[in-house]
Amino acid sequence: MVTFIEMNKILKSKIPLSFKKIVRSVYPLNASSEHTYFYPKDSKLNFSDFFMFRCDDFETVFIAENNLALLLAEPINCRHAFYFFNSHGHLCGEHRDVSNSFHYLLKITKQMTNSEKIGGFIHQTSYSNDLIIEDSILTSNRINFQHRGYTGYRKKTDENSCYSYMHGNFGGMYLYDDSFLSLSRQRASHFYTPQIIIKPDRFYEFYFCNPTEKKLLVSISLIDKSLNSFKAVSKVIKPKGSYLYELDTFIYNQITNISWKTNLPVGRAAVFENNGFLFDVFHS
Amino acid sequence: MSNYFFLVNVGDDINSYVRISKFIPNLRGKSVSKIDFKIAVYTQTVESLFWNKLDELYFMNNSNVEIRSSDYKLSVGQIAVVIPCETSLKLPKKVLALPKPISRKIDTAPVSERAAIGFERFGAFSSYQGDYPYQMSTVKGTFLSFDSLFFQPDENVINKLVLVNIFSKKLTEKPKLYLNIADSISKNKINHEVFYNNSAAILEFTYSRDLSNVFYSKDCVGIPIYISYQKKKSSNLSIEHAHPPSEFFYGDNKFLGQQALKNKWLHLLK
Repeated sequence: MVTFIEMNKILKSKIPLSFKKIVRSVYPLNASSEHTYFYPKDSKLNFSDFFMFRCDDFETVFIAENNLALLLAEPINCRHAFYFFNSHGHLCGEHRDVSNSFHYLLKITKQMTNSEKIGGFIHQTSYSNDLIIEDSILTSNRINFQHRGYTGYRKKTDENSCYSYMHGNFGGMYLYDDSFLSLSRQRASHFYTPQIIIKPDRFYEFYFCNPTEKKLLVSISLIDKSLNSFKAVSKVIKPKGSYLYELDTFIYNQITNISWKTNLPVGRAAVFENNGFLFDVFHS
Repeated sequence: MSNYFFLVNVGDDINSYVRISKFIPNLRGKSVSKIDFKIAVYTQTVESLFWNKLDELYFMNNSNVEIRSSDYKLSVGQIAVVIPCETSLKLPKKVLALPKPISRKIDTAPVSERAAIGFERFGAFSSYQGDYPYQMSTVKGTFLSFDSLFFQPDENVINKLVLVNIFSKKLTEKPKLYLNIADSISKNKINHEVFYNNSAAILEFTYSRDLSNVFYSKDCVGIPIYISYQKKKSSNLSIEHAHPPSEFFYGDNKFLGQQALKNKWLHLLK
């Protein structure tokens, strides 16, 4: 006698792997699928996280990767392009350079961002001899390069201090036919609760960005010591835009945790934690 | 997927901590939810194949728990593994294999089940949302990473790469493991550090302006943590973990990209 579970296993084993992947990846079959399954099948496309720049009280540097050089373990000329977006999601600046190094250091200036103090940016690469990519492992395996570089921040008033670094978060953004597109999709609502303890003597800035092509609603809730939760603020972020939420622990001095609801399956934020003298930055 | 966390003594008056909450890190539904579990803390000395239980912690009426390396007498390079467990699980004082951590995932929401892994030094603080995946603790593997997190132009900055290794299955011996640093252009080895399974290798090195250092081990996997700070007590502290090479690629077969990249580098690096 074959049980229901055994029958289920047998049926599952008969389904082709490619079909299983589609079922797991495609909305609405999976309402937590982070990104679209369908995108242009072009091996020269490269996808970038949506990074954050601060030209307010902070200096920002970015360590970009030359993925082809890293893949082949030898210096190869890479054309790096960086596109900057203001908090409303409008393109506000570009920067281009060529380098054969494994890593390229970018110091982000107000000239690059057209004097915008805070916003997002993406990194794109191309190679003078695209045949190298055509011939590489990428084409035969439908793999694309991905840019997940590292952003470093330090206070302008403390130029001799260390940069504090944070790695990229998922954005899946890319330039295709002169349009900025994204693999990121909004799905069912998800609650994201970072594993942090809010300290009453610290000042917190939570930086949210919207890598998708639709407006994004962020609803932030605060949780106190007695596990009571209440809504603090809701904000609509435009596509490619960003929003900085400042948590005032002087007013909310009983708060121990923070959570937010978005339609992003993984709605992370960049967090700046400040004690008035030193700071830390990390991805939630 | 379920994950371990860790405390580590990296020396130089730097304390590490793990902060973890009852709240499920990511979920669908109508509100924030909690999950009940307890936390086990185990450590292993260099000479031993046994894990010794250091602690067993409960949330009681709190939402969060903070575990600090300074609460346990860890020697430099020694780690303590922090394990979320079922509250009913019996935790022996000595074990040869670590208990498997519970999963804090309750629905289709995709998230790595993390905790805050942080470090403090004279009032400076730095953390990241991190983990040590259980799956990774069951394989020997290899390690490759670049020094992209060490752009620190001030000459007085101390840079350390800390490679944390956890092997949760039973070990029958502890051979020497090597963490190496090489010049990524010439591929010549610059230095190495010897360490063992279930500990951390700590490699201090000179900052290279063109970010041309590559770190590798042909003996084991591990989580690389990049630490930078100045000697002065008022220095900022920078801590971050690096992405694995698979993150250079996007697509269902991105691990083939990682395999090709690692094979190429590890063949060239001696």
